[in-house]
Amino acid sequence: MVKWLKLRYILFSVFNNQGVWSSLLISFLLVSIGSAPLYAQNKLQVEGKVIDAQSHQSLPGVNVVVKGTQTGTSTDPNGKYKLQVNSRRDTLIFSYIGYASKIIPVNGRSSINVSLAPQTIQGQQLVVVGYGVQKKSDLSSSISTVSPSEIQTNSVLPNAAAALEGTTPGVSVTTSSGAPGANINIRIRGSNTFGNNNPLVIVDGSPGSLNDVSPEDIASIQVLKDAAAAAIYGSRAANGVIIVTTKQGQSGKTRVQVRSSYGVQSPVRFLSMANTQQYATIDNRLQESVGQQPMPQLANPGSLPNVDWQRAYYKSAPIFNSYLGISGGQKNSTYNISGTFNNQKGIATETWYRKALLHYNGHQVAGAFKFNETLSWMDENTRYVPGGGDMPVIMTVYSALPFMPIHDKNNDGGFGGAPSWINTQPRNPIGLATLEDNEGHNNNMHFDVNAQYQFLKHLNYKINAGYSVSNDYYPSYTPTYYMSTERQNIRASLNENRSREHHWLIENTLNYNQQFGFHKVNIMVGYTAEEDHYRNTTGYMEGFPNNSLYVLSASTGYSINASGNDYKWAMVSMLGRLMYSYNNKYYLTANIRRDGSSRFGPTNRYGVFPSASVAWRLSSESFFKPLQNYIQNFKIRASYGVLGNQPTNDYAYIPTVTYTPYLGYLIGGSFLTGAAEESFANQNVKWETTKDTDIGVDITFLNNFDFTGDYYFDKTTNVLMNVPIPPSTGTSSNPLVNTGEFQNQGVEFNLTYNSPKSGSGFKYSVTGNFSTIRNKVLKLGYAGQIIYGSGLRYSLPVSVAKVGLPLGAFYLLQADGIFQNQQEIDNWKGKNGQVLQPNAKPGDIRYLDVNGDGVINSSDVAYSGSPFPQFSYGVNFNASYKNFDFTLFLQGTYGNKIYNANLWEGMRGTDQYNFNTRLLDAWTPSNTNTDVPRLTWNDPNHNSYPSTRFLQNGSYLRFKTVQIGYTLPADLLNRVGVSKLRIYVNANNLFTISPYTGYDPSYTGDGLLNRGVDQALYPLARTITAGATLNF
Amino acid sequence: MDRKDFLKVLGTSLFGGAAFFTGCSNILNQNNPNSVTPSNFWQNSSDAEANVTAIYQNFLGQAGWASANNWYDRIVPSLYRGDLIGITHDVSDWWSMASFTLVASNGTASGNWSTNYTGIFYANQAIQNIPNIKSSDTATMNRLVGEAKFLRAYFYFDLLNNFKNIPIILTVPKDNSEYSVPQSTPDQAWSQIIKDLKDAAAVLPTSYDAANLGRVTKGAALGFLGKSYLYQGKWQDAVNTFEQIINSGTYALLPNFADVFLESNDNSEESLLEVQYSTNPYKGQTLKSPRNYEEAPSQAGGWYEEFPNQFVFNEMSKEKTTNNESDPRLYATIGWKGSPLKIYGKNWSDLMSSNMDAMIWRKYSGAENNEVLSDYSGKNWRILRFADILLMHAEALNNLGKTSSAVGFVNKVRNRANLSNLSSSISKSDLMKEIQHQRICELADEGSRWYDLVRWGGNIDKSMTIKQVLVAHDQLGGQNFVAGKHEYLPIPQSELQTNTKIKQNNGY
Repeated sequence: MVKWLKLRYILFSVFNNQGVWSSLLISFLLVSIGSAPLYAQNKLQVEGKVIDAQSHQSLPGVNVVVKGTQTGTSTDPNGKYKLQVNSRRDTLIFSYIGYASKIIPVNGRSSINVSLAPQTIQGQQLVVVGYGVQKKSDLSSSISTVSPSEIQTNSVLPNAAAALEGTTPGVSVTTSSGAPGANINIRIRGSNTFGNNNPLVIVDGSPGSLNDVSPEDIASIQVLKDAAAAAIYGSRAANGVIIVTTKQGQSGKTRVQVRSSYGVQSPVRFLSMANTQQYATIDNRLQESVGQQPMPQLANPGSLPNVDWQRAYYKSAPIFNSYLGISGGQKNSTYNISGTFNNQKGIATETWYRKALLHYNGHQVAGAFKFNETLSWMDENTRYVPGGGDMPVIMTVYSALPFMPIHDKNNDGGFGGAPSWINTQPRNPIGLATLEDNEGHNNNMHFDVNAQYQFLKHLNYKINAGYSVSNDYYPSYTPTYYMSTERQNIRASLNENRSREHHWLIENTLNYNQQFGFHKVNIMVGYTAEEDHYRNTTGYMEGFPNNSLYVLSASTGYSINASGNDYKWAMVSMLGRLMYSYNNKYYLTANIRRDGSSRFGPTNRYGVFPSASVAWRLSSESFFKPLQNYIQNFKIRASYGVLGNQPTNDYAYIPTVTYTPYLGYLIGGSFLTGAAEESFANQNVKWETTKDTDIGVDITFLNNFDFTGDYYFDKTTNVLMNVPIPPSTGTSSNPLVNTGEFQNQGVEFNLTYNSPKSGSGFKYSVTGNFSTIRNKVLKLGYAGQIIYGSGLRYSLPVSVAKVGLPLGAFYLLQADGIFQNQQEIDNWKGKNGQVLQPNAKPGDIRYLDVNGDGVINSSDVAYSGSPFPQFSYGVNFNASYKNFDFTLFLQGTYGNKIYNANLWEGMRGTDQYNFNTRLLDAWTPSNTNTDVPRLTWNDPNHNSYPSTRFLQNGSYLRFKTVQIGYTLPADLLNRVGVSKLRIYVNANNLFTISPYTGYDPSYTGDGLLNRGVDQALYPLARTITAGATLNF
Repeated sequence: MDRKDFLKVLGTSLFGGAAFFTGCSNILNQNNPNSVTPSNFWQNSSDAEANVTAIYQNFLGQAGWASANNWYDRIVPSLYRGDLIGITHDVSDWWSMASFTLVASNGTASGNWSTNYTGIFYANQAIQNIPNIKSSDTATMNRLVGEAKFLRAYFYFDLLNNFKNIPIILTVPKDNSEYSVPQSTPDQAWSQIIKDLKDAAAVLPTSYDAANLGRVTKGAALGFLGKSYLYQGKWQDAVNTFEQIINSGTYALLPNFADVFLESNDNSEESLLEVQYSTNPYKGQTLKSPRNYEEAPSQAGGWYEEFPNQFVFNEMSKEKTTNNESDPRLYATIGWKGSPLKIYGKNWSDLMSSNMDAMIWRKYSGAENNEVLSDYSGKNWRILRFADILLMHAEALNNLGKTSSAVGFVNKVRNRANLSNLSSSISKSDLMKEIQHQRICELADEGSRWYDLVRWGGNIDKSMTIKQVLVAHDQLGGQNFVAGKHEYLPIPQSELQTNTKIKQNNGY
């Protein structure tokens, strides 16, 4: 005995401060040595009952261990336990997954009743699962949780969706542009459909938007990733579900939080475009290439203006965010009310964004009734980059000629333009951005109220009614201006678009919750209905007496156009769910939902979507006991489910006759309106179906590590596609047909480490996530044809949907270096010995004859790379020391390709828009060591065709967020009635490591078939912010 | 409505599932409130008329700014490949078409294909559905079907001469099994065109009242019927058809050549078929042509896309009038430094000081009004006029060996240009050459030259191949011309990618 104690003492001394590894080794040694003879006299029997501190329900299966021994038991189905201790001074440890452990000295008592409090640390918090909540430890499906701290660290950004970027494996967050207020696209586990790929966002029970919630108000975000988790939302959940829960007030004293931050956004990088001198050099060589004299006007570039358009157009811009929250309440009634205001300018000339949010969340309890209501209001105002007609303004910024003056007092509008002697006359981007006023004013109001009635102890009825209205107003005014002969607007025009959308939702659910010993059962049934109605009106007038009058009625009526549309859809659903668990070991969840949608004809209207998931917690099994000291929780999960998706078009199945002036003609000097069937409707449109399988593990080990891993595989059939049909049918609009098949598969890992508390006050945590998506098109169209992405300006499409490839795969001509001499051209022959590129000259691009037909043309395109990364990752590091805290968030992708269309524009060299300076390195007989082909204006070899020359590696590692905070000492603050004051400095998008040469590898087109295509996108800014949070 | 739905559903929901479902399954029955559907269209003569109007719209090209489509999709293919013009190269699709470097993705070729087939799609709707409408006004119904048939034939004529191997589609496809249609032989296409034109000629009126001016006539149908026979070398059929037009007395040459192209002479007695334009905006649609801008010099604010070349200028300068003056058609067709006529209100030297050797086309310039270029043109596009009929008739007669009868028709055209009568003993081959010469002088910039070159295989007397003609007349890219390939355009890439039964044309 003494010997044993001594050994134990020595071992602990040796391994002290060695943390987890020591406990591992010690436990191993102790098990090996054995401890049977340790117990002897003075035995005392202790018994009692363990209950949940909140619900007061008994807790079966709780581990009860005598501290420092292997003696222990667990509670029976009624939460009761009984065991013997050696000494009256022994101590009992009560532990249960999902609850905070309790350590209770026996102190000679023979009866000890314990209540355990649910614990909300990583891996054990309550998770909102849709029409209910579940303990995270009880989940059998794949659900990720984003904690409030992650959301709020990123809250310098005015959209809560940004908080998901890089923090959640399998969730891809891309920004459609760097413009202030730009739409943020969320994709959960890839794309399943040609239609809507956006996940369903549920805010406090009703469909909503992450943009309408202040990050400060969010209590948690849950991402339901697999079909089993999402299936309760049926057909609306085909792209996953994001559930946002806002903070509730707490009874007691009134709490106030104020947060304010101010920052500066600045452009990160610029493309290398020619200055006037370089322009003249390149243009002279182009003229020479077609046997023309250099332009005399460019003979003396020093005498011409020299404008760096990118630096003139992109400037540093301020960003300001503030938040005020007040919460509190009494025992039976709590509230949380807040206001948020975001105000920022964009780095692009004359762009801005302002958003105001008002949010209210209240709870009341009255006997068996519970009420909960949420009211939110959002007002959003944006000034956009103007469209720019044939060439978007963002593109004009790098295409603008360096010798165009920015200002010219003599011109109407005051802006300069291209001189008349140059053939290409881009608009002045600064002039257009200043003169043309394009704004958006959106107003959303969302009201959600629910009432619960507890019939019996185990039976609960809930009715939820949600209503939202949004009013959008988009005015766009173009005054008269003169920039050059080709770039002038002789008549002012005004376009105003107003729309109103309202949506209502009613959900009735009945919940049965019962525990029979080790058996826990939850049954939920419900029925829901919702309807959405959208209506818009557009008015357009041309010709105004002057540029200061811009209302439609002030128009001189040169051109008048008005239009409007009305869209409505409705859904009616029935749903049911069974959740069952046995003794914290075995879990089963089964869902079924039947949806009816107005977007289908009567025969195909209803779809049934079942799912099931199971889980097994090995760590609760007795055979696992020896490992329990190293692995605290080990659960494996498997799920399978079916989800549906419907068309985005409300009336796809109804054929129409277009009766419109657009089809009109002039007869007898008067205008007749025309009518025709312009397209083919498919009356057999039916549900798209996604079948999804997920296998995962949740492991908590060495006390401080949490690991979640998932493998998923899903296949979508009957994908609705606008199948391209021959132009000889006479229509350019393609009928919607259920014909495609896609599959997605991948793995996702998330690993968290929380350091134990140390005496020094230093605490840190690290979270890393990793995910892969393999997307593949299995079937398309009628004959496995290729669907091309939309063509770029002056260019063929660069990406396709094609069987066997990922969606949006790059499909390009294969550039194979440069012909160095005539002999190489003559030797470059096809199968039958014909010279493949007879028009080529030395210095031209060599292309591969992919289809082997002996001719190089647009049919020689081939798969050249995927816009999807091989993997994506994020690492979040948080540390605190005394009053300082620090956050570092890294995020990136590996293995994706980007088509750099901006580079292609600048290097095309077939017109006189500004040139990329790489053209200075063009091939010449004396400059042969280059990858830039010779300069040739008429380009007989088609060097300027989109090809693999412009496809670049899009991998990157981004220092997304770096934040340092300091919390002022509490004793100091308490004297002035302040409970907390934290100040911080935050850098967002600090720097990026990437081989990509364009503006930014992280957002490059967000459409299904133009993912990874970087053309004319508003560049992302680097933002440095300072702010403070004050609580009292 | 929505509020009512909401309250109803809310109310019934409190009484449980059964009541709820009966209460809200009705909301799944939504109708499209935005358009008419085929089931409630095709009811009366105004529906029929509206559908036929939509066919005409494809004759025009797209409305709005896109009325320029007529230029892009119809006029460019007909003008740019000829040997009479020079072009600037700032629109790559046009440049590659003109220089015979085009590929299947050429936007102008596919635009021509799509515009014609869209017109055919709408015409098929009319031809299929109008006969089923119960209307007492059978005359109007028959006429509308006749208009649809003429327009369908016109679209197929354009397709056949541009693409040679084309699918012939005569009904509205019922479902996806009918979307891909294989190509017919050119002979089959010709038979269909001739059938439609004969049907149309049988029901179309000779002329219309003012309210219907601009609709296609019997004369237009006969004109294209004769032209179709001529293009196939069916000389006797051509002669018989042209005779019907000439003997009808409906058409005559205007006394003064320059007057033919005045906007005020839209739909004149010389005209068999015109696309109707107007500068007045109608219901937000502009129905005007950008052709004046396309052809005007940049000094006048135009785009100067295409212009006469030295060859056409020389052709028109060859012969003096009976008063020993230049051919009046030269002045009316071409603006150059030697012309005394003003351009956009200015003398040549004031307008073109930096570019005195340039030339411009005048027929569609709007220059007759000496107006400043400030808006697109409202002048109708003359597609088929009587002078062309006379020359085609003469050509058919001469081919039949009836040279002495043919001379008279050529002389009518010559006399209007103040040129002397040809000798009635002119040889067949000399008259052939004269017809070719007159077609150039009379019809320059009107879009028939390229199709003449293709049907003749070069010069009318086979003395030069197409390539030799193009090279001799300095047509840009003439060197690139490949016989057996470039006579026709490539079947568009978009068709090849979607039509499972189509084959690319030779050489592409």
